[in-house]
Amino acid sequence: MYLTGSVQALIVSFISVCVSLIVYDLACALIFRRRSARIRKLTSDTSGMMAALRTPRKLRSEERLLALENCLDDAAVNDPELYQRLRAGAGEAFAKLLRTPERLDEIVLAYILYLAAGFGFFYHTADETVKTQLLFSVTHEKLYLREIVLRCICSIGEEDLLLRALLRLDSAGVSHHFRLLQERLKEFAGVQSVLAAYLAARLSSFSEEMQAVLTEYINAGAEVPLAGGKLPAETEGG
Amino acid sequence: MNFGLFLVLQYVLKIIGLFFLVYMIFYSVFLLLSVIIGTARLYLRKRQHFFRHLIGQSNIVAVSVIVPAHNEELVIKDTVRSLLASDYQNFEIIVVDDGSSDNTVQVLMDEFHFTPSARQPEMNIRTRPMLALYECRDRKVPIFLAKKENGGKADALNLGINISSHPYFITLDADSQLQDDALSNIVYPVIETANVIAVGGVVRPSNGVIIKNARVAQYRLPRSLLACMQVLEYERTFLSTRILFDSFNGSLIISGAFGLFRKDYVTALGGYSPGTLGEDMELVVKLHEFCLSNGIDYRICYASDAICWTQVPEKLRDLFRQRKRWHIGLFESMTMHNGLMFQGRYGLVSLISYMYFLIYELMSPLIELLGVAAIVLSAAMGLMNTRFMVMFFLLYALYTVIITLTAYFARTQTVDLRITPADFLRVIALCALEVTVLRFVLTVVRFTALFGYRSGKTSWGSISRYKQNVG
Repeated sequence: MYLTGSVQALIVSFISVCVSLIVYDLACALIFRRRSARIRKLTSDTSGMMAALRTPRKLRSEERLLALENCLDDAAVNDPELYQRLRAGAGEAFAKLLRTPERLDEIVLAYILYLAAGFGFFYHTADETVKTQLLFSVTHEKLYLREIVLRCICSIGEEDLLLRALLRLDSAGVSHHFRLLQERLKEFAGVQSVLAAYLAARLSSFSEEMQAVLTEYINAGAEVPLAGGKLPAETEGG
Repeated sequence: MNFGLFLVLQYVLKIIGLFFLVYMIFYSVFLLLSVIIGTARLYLRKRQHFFRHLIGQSNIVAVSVIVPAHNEELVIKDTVRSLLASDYQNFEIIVVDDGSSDNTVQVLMDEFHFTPSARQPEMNIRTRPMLALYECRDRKVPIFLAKKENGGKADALNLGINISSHPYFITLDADSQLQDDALSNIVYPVIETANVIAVGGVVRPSNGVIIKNARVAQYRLPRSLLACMQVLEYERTFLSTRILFDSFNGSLIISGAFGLFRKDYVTALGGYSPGTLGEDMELVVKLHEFCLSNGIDYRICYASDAICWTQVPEKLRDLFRQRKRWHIGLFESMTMHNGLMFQGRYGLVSLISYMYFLIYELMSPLIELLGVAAIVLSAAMGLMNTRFMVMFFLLYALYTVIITLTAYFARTQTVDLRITPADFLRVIALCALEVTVLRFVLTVVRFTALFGYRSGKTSWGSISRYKQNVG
């Protein structure tokens, strides 16, 4: 008996899929194993890192960004001069990268903003392109990305930028838990009392829900609390 | 006459054989899609993990963790301890003892300082009478212990819901251990999206795993061959049905061992249905049906990084009993909510999820056994290309082995579990055994599950319990 063409095709398909899956598994295992080694190598190569900062497209890689974080952490403790150079270089490079965000992978964007927030790359120095990108991303569908964007905005330390971000979040109707918002507001890099006064003066621009959240934040640091605003019920159920 | 009969039989066998072939090809395509999508999502989730953890959601949403227990004296203390080791802060623990005949209650009384509780449960769901309610307030979170008349797991869960004071509740089996970040991870979807009403966690067999302070201290495959094969089966199943169906809001199962629910929705539906053996699946299907038929914007999702470790049967008798119970539960859920069957207006939940569970889970024992019988009969009568069939089955077995190994290794890599070289070889060998032998044996077991079935029968699924490797 012989196998017909369609039967042969079926068998060949199965074999092809099996081989492809084996190749896929091996590739994933190799990538994972090599990742840690590659990050260690990149971290130890400081001159290579400085060169990468001059060519921002090289930073469009998670491994490179992780290595940059390690370099900054080491330099902050052991070599303050190198730390300042890395910080200045990274700030410029990140600003350039954020001009073309569509070329950035979501995770890479998150790392860039995380590092910018953590090391204060844009503290009072963010240009309009960076601010526009941050305001655009603050309504991202992914919670973790919205959080990172808010952290970055707070790290810039400009009340007006934060106000605009909150207004965008509010008007977009994106569900962002009020407790998380309050935690981010506490991380504002400028003067908290100035921020509180700034927001208090513009409370009426927000929805009732957002007003309640901001009122609680403002009252937490105020000598004379503002009136009003009931926070969303969080413990009543059933 | 005989020739006529022979012709008829020949055609019938051909049709059955062809149907079975198409059935297996469809299933192969489904497995392939689900593994590709599932592993891609696992790897993406791994990359996002760092940032998701930055959020610090351990205080945001208050949850009640309900632990129904029946004769769990050996493991209940470790389960509660694993909850206390969680990195989550804003929760309460409610252990509901469902008329245990062993020392489940005494074990907890000896471990924790309980006093009579003043809390008055809101009896929104009817349950068997509660006999006593105690509370312990000197630990990280409040712990409640409710004693009630025996009424089954569903009834115990319903009492737990009545006692709870938070807008969300989590169900946890009494023989399960949560990883320290499991509560944070299962709560995350609720914080991220406002319309999430239920979240399923991942259940992994804990046999052979050493857990200390709610973290995996040492990961080893179980010594028991049977438990080892179930490890592989669980990984394939979770990757194939949970992650893929989650991508279109089509999850029909949230494991009863570990799942989160919005209390107001569950209460509105009357809670878990007593008198069913598959109360976990029945609740989820009920939620889907309710939301779809009322046009409610909702999401039932799956948190692939919320991990719960639980014991799996190491004896064949226990495994057979468990699988029969699951199959009956599946039958009850599908028949009670057959309004979901092939309804275009209900979208992919009806057209894909429900139909998958109907054909490839509920009816699969019948289809597979009939298919095998038809093939054997055809071969005996010289009606089929034996060489092709043998080759096909061998290829299919190899294919399923590779799929299972892909699922297993993707999982272990993305949660940073190290496998020893010996375990690596064991996995490959046992995978072949699981795909060929165990799967067929369980197909037969599930086929017999509905023999003598009577509705309304409830019982706690009991398997032999062992003290877990917990520190």
